[in-house]
Amino acid sequence: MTTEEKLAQALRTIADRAENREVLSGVIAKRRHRTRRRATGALAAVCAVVLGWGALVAWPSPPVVVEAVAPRADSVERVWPQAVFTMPKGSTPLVAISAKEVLVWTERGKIEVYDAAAKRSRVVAALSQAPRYRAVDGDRALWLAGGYAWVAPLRTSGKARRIGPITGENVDRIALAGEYVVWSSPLDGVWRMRLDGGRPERVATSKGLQLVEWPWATDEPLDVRTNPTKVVNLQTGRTIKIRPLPGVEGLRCGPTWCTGTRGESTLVQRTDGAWSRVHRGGPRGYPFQDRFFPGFGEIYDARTDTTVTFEGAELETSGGRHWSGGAGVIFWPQGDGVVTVNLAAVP
Amino acid sequence: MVEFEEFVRARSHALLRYGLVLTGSADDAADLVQEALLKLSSSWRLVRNKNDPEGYVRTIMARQHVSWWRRRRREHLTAEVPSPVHEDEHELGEIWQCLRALSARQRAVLVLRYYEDLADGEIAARLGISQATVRSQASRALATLRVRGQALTGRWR
Repeated sequence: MTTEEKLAQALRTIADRAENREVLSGVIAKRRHRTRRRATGALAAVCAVVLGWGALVAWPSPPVVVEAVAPRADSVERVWPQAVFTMPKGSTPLVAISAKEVLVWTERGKIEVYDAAAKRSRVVAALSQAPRYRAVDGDRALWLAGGYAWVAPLRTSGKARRIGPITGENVDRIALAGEYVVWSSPLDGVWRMRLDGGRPERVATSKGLQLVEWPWATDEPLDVRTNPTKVVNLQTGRTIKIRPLPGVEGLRCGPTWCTGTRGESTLVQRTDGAWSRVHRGGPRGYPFQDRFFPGFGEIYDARTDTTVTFEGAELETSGGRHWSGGAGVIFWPQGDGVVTVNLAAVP
Repeated sequence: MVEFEEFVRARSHALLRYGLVLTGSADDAADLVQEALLKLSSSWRLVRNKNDPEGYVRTIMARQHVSWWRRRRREHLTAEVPSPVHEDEHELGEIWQCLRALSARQRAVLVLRYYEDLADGEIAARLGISQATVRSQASRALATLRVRGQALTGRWR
């Protein structure tokens, strides 16, 4: 094989190892960052930039641009100081457990509970790779691996228990529900299996629904621009009808709050359509605990109508910012640690 | 008409792959892709009508990569980054090391020629240099790879 052939093969092999990442949030964050910088020098320049695609970040018209570059909301460290802590480097927060604890994946190949108050962690389980889907309740951790669900105690020592196999294609939501593990995949309804075994069974009234946060599920459409019609409590059968505001697309709703887009703006609205707010921080997707919407450098708490900002880590080459998120956690590397925002610590 | 967000969702992985072979680092690749998409977003309405927004982004990425590399080289040496090559992949690791040692422009020329399969004229247009420069850069880069490859393994021709 010639040098050229080896080179072509090597480049293809390396390229195939590129992980897919969510890049849109970084693009929007860069735009906001640059816009702020320019705004200090020349407002006219800011307006010219935003008249382009920048409106997607929820600047619906030039006058709002002025508002967007006005004083920023307070930082998360000032508004929710109890929710911010730094854990040792080498840990990746996965899920918020409680006000002081988060489930983490460590470089040592272990799932651990990190206690921010004690600054200590304890091992839950050793795994060959970080689980893609995971959930917690107060006392247990749950994750999917190899077609099975695994449940391990968080408070006491004990081995992880295997449950399954978990049936269904493309299972992408899981939760613990008392003595059951529950899961769902797009359009396939919510299924459950007892922790001590048995057969999988579809949860009553869940046909066509996807889990949001147990016990809530919704008829999430496959098309990202289509709105769902309802959010259902699978324990009580209570059904909340979703009332999209005029022109809103792609709503994703918890029982009380939704996010969606209208034109090139992102907005948060109440499920019943009674209230809405346009956001420049671009929160998207389902809320955590039916209230928090992490966005691009911002977290919006719909319950208290509070927006806090976070900085993230600076990218070396361009000066942009980056961060990552899990269920109820947002984090970024800083020095020898990982700065973590734990939304379960916000009262 | 494809909208910007749809374009990003559909093509970001392909761009990250291209970014990784250009920069050698997953983080730098993500940064490069975001920077290029930021520029694309500003002129999206014009570019989408020309039916090749991806070519436009890839051109920005190649040029931006060369520009950043110059700046970073002045500031400090490139830090150690996680390698996409596994420890037991000796030959691939050697090629990767050699590629990383090339200048950004030389590596960009090789990536465009052997990963993107572009002709020298297209590479010249993408990097904003002459075809003669493309040929000379490619020639030097391949010579460096052969010499380094021989030094490392004695197997490269």
